[in-house]
Amino acid sequence: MSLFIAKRALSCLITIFIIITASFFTVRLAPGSPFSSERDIPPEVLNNLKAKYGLDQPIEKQFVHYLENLLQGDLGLSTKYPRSVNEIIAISLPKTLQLGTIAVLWALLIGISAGVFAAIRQNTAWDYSFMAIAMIGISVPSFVLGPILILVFSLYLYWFPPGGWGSFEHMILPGITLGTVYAAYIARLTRAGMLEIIRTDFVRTAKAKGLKESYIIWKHVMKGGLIPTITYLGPAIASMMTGSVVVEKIFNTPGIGPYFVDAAFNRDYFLIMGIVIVYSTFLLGMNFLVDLLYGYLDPRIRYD
Amino acid sequence: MTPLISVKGLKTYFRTDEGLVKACDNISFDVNPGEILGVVGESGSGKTVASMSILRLIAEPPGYFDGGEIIFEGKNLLKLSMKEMREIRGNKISMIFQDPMTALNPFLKIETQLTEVLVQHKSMSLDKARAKCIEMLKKVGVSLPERRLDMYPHQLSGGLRQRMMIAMALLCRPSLLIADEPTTALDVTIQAQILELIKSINQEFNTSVILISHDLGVVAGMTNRLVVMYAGKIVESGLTEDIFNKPSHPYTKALLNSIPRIDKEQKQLDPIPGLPPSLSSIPTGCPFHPRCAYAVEKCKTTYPETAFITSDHISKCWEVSRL
Repeated sequence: MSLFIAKRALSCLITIFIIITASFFTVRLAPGSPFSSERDIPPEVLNNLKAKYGLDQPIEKQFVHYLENLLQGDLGLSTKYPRSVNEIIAISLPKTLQLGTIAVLWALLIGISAGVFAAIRQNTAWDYSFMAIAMIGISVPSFVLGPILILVFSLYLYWFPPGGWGSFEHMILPGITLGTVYAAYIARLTRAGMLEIIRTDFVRTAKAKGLKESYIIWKHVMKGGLIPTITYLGPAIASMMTGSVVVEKIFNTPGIGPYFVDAAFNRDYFLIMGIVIVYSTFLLGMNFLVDLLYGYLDPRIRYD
Repeated sequence: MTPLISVKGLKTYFRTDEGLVKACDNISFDVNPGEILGVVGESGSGKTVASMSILRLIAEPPGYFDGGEIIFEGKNLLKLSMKEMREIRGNKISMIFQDPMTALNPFLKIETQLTEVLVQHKSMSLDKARAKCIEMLKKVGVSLPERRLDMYPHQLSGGLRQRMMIAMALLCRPSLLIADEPTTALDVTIQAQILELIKSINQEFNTSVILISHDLGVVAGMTNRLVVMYAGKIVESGLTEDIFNKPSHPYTKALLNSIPRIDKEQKQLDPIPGLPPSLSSIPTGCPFHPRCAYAVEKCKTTYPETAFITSDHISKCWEVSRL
């Protein structure tokens, strides 16, 4: 087991290194520079700017320098904002994480319970309506769902603020908007996974033993039935936790999402790199966690 | 003798896209206390559906009971509520299945799967249940029972898994054990051990057994009485000895001719020509007539009446006298 963890950790490190290298150079390939603007900047100023950010060095030197700083936890300076990348992430990421947590909880709560319920009541009106709602949830994009929720719950019912940040209430609507599409996928996956297990011989055995229906679902079906859902949860949680540009824009959430887009537009080299590193670490970490969860859920999977 | 369980005129039908499937069509048989009843027939003859009907394990829908009754301890099992049925399943009537590889839950430890039966039916504490399970595992010939309890099914061999299934089925000392092809998925030496075990359980605990098999060789040495099924119907029943000595239905006869004998010189085996019919399109008259060497015109139109060879050896054939 520990050997497996060590192996996986090493392969994650290698993957991250490849991601860093690839994005470092591709970003530089994009036309334009952090300092291109409509007005020409005097050459002396431009040279000073380049020197400040180390962009006057040859590119391989810049890369080595970047890696050295990275190892010390320094992500560099933003070329657009008067802050370091570390500061920007430190301020915006926690907000995105809080929002993501709400979204994850919502997606899990609604998705798993709807999926399990639909599976138990397979081919009934409950099943059909839950799955129809899930289909709608998958189809409606967040830039439609968000404004609808604002209309209903903020402008009409006055339950939640329509946007901004500051209290728990501010997180509800964006959290739901972000989580709904995942909830819908989770519901469908959970239903399919549960149904697959419900049809197995060992569930028939459990029935032949005279066990209660609810006990059978909980004890005999859940563990195996949730495996497809868990597989999906790795990348899903990672993308919910890292937020959504669209949702954060709609609700004016000061999270990390909008920075990503702005950074790309502004060729804010170091900010792009910083956010890419945060995103990919998250994704790799979640997938790693999912692999470990498999072993817990299915005793036939052993990592040695 | 009052039978332990009495199946009378059981009709288990399924509504399918291909039409109505009469998986069990007017099935009647008794199981006496302490006896082993064999049910034989090809795949698709309805023997598994018959046994699943006793425990009401048929998926309803598409399955339903069109008639008949199953009398056990004075009650008609087909009329019981699901709650009453649960109290019988695994407690008074247990079942072991064909494939021990898939019949045990791969996600749960053996201990959980065994103790939950006692917790459910006898409201035992886990500690007490565990002790009881260890005792039972010793009885069914599992060595190192304490260690096996902590294992998962995939860590056990096929034979051991079937022993686990048997132990699980016997925990509540049921009066009837239904064994649905318990040895089909096992290799021959293990087969013999498992059959021996079932026989010794029958004698030691006085548990009645319904042994379902497609293998006449398996039932020959094991059973007291025999029911032969074909296309959802019982075509012959009687004492095992009588049926083997004087098979009184062309199907039974053909089955016996198609297995190798050690006591006779045989150049080649006689297979039964044709295929068993699909249960959604059973031939009219006697369902066996298209494959039967003795068939006459009457067999194509009219289902045979019961012919009594002896008082408890019956056959459903018009041409019994010619066999």
